[in-house]
Amino acid sequence: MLIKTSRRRFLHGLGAGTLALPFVRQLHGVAQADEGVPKRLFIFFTPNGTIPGHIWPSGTETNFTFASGSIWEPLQAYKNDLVFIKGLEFYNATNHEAGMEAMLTNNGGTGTETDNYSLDQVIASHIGAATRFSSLELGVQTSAWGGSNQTRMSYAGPGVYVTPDDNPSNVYQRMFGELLVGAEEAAQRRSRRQSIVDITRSQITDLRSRLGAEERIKLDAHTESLAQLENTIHAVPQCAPSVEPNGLVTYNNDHFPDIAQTQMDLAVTALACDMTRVVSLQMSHTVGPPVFSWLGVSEGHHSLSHGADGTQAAEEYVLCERWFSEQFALLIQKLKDQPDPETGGSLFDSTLVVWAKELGDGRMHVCTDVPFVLGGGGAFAGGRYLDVGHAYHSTLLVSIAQAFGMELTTFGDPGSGTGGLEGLS
Amino acid sequence: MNASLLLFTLACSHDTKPTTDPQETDTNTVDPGECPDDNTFFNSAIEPLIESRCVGCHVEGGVAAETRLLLKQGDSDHNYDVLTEVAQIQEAAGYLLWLKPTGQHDTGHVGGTVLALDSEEADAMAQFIGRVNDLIDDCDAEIDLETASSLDCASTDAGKRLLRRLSHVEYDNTITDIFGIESEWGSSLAPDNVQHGYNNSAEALQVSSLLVDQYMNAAEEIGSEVVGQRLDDILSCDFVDRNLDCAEDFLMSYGTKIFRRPLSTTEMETYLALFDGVYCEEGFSEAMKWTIAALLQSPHFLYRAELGRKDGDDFVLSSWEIATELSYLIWQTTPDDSLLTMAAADQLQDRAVVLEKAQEMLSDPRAAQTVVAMSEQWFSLDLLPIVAREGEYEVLTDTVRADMGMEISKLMYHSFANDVAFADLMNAQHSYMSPALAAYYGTSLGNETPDADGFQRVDLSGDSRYGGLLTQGAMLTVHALPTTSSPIHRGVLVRERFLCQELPPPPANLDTSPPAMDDSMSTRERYDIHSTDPACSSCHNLIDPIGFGFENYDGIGRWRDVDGEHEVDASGEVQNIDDGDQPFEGVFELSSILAESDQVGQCYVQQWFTYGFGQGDMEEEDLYCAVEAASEYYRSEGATLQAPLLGLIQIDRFFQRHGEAGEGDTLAIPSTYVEQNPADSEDPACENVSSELEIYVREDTNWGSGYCNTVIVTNMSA
Repeated sequence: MLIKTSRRRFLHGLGAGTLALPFVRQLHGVAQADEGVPKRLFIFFTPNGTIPGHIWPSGTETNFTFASGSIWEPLQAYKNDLVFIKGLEFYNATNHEAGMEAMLTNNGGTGTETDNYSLDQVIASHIGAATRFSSLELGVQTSAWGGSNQTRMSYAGPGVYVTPDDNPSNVYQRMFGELLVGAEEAAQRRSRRQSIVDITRSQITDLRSRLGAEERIKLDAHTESLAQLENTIHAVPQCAPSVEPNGLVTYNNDHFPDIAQTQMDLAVTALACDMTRVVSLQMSHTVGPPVFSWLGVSEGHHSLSHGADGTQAAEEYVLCERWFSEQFALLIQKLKDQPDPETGGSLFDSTLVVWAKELGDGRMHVCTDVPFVLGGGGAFAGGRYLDVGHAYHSTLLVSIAQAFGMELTTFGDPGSGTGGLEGLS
Repeated sequence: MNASLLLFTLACSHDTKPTTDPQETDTNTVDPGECPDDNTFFNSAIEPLIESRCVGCHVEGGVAAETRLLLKQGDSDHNYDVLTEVAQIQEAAGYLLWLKPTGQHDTGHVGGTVLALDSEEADAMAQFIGRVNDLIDDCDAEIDLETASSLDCASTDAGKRLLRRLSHVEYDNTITDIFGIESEWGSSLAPDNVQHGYNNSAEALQVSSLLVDQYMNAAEEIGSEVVGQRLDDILSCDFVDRNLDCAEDFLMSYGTKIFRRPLSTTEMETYLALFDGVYCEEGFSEAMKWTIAALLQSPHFLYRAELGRKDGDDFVLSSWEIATELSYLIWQTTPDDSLLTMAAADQLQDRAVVLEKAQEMLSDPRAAQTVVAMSEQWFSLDLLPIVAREGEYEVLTDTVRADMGMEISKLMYHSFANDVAFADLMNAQHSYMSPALAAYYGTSLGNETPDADGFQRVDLSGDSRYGGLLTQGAMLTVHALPTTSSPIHRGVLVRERFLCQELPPPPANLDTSPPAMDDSMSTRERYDIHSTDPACSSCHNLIDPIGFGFENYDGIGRWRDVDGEHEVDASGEVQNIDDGDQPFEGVFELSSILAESDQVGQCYVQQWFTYGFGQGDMEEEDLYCAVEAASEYYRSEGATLQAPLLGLIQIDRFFQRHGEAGEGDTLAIPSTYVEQNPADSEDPACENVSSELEIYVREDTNWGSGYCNTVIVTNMSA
């Protein structure tokens, strides 16, 4: 059950959108459970590329096997739910930072079809208007180095990062804070908050008129954020609070696995409660330094990603990558265990899950043969290993947007060609 | 001439005039042998050069495919277009197309020096650059690139008009100083974007949807806490009945602190209406809470305005804006009463007054706190508590980390407070240690009196192992790896943070696998591959030989004479510093070299500039010139630690801005509010209230065993 936005607030949002951001606020109607159209998107990210000799399956598209000890082997149980893709390359982007920038955007500035919004934000612009949060960005130790093109993957325009929240307690408060006070108090609070948003917005409008174009960008972003805040203020969560996280230290290396679990649970809960339909879970970041001490490994993940085949470093790197596969498997299982609030099927049946990476071979710093895994949501038949040869990954981004019912033909820089990824559908 | 401005005069030889096809010569009115047009010149003198020197790497799939110079073998039309574009890229030190191939660029050239200075090919390239940029005409075969391209810093002064969102540190300090409550709300906000190593960038700090949500919650919690703890202190009146005069007084005094200027009439009316609306429904405390919450979400609180008033071609900053600049630059917090008073009297248009005030502020302990916060980012010390250390390095406990953090904070704090010379910080022969930390280092603690934290000043004048900023345990630990030291990290630290040379990442398509851990080799030997493989050496020669000098310190800051089984070799070299290469032995000698370098001195000023103004892109001419101007002052003031700040407040950009005006009123200060509600005026009763009785209890006196309260019961339904 969705809380309807009032006409007044709806117009506010629209006004802000046409002012600053021609693309994001088109406010298409939400697709109503069409056959094969996913209702939700879950982006899962793990960093530092891969090691080619230890990931790719052998066999054909529909009959393939994972080698024992290889990176994707922990996904064996979900093989028939997933599409494993080899051969994707980024257009005009290579190396850590460029790969991170291009992974969900395919670059391309203002004026391209997607205005350098990332896949999650593009889909949120399409299906996010009706929910409390148009999207939720959750992180696991993404921000110890601050925000930069190394540490961010979600974009709302050229150079405009959408910051993930690394702190599970904050996420919890944001999701359920409304339910932690009485109903009457909550109602009164909503009206106070709306008054303040109105005051702030009118002051921003006034201040904006005194600025040149360059400094207006900041206030436009602020106004857009206020429109999203209004959504959050007025949409009351429709389910009981989950267990409050505690005892986690956001940037304690050894807490990485527990934080990942907690964030994953919160993300799945947010989808199950229909607080949002677009979620991303970003584990660390490119060049990320986590030490997988819980696996008995003592070097940082990025250092290990440079290990030559056959060395101890490479062996340990494969172990770490397998751990990420286990987390992805866990995510799938959690989504399968949750009922869809509307259809009665599982959340996995209505959620397209994408495991994205920013590099292919991590040692070579290249964005060719970048591994992607997707599944769920009913859009693409699972149980396939797709070797696409050499295809720009923008075609995959187009396919995903089209799967959600968007009429895009290019994603990001149009130089990488038009249309979806051949052989995917 | 300053050290990083590397401009060169060419010794041009006249025999480099390109020869052209004699058949074409006949058709031209001007002899192209003497005055070839750009195309002819390119085809004869440049295309052969780039085919032999550049296309090996600067092509699709080549090592340099990611650079701006992407050529096509044999395609002279394409190459002409690309080269023409690249020839126009000018950095502060000169033209990129000149600096890179001649090996003079700050960050090196991966392919090494491909055009020797004074060679015919280098001359030809200089001529090409001169032609593209209209520095010479077709008939000139000589060019003096230095004269032709040097920046005229005298003509650039004012900076851009800015709105600067408070950094999270500034937010906390500001809340604490306005309301007298401890604030950790700022430090728990979503981390900000980092540019040029600092998280207070004027450009990058924006308000995201996550942050706007967090600001809302923080503002409400602060409102509640202030009302719960501090109401008696911040109100100058008793709130009796529906007394809007009291709210008005609060807005006039605290509104001015929060907006860093008086509220306008419109603003005052807006907040009074909010206050009154909440008051009539929920009473006084809630009304105060929501009014504070609203003020703290206003753009006039969240952004520091540096907009100014239009005056001729420029904008002149108001005294309120200058008070705010001074306060956040030197104290990282909101202007105090003394600054607000000076702003109200418009005294800060006088530069002599500003200088005197800045000097006074620098002598306050809050200024030395600023250098502690600044150096935390300058050296990435914020990572000290969280860098992973494994195996043998697990002796780096949380306590040791905390002590190391305290040690370097105290060194920075005291050095700055005493305004010692920058060189004396680099070569400091003392430090500040707890007994536990001294034991960890194996250093004699001495017998100075410990301070309140249990740290004491330790004399290192006779110590052959520790001394100077670079040997601080925190510095050595942050710039290392989980189980080993790291010559790369330490070399990069010196290059980027002391020489202000940002290094490019390693190119793609290069196998970057390091040699495996091997006990038969020392760390230094393992990294030697970088100097033997030419694909690595052009950059790593700038980095590793510096880092090798640190090899006497392991990855957790402990001194070592042997690395595994290998005796440490701490000899090193700083290449390309102050126009030369300087070999050294160990960190003490390295510190001396850096301490005496003009380039490092200017870099210190640049760090303050970037931190203070939130702008660090030195390819922008006006920023480069501003740093130049501040550096002049720094040098003339004896190159002390405080000198850069005095430089920053004396350059034009501190007082003036340029930029586009909006169509709205350009006044930075709106017309101010005149008190409307004198204390004796009557306020009308609330209308349409939801609750019937409002009870307000005020504690008048409290003597422990008893108390007197004033209880006000208002019948809201009346």
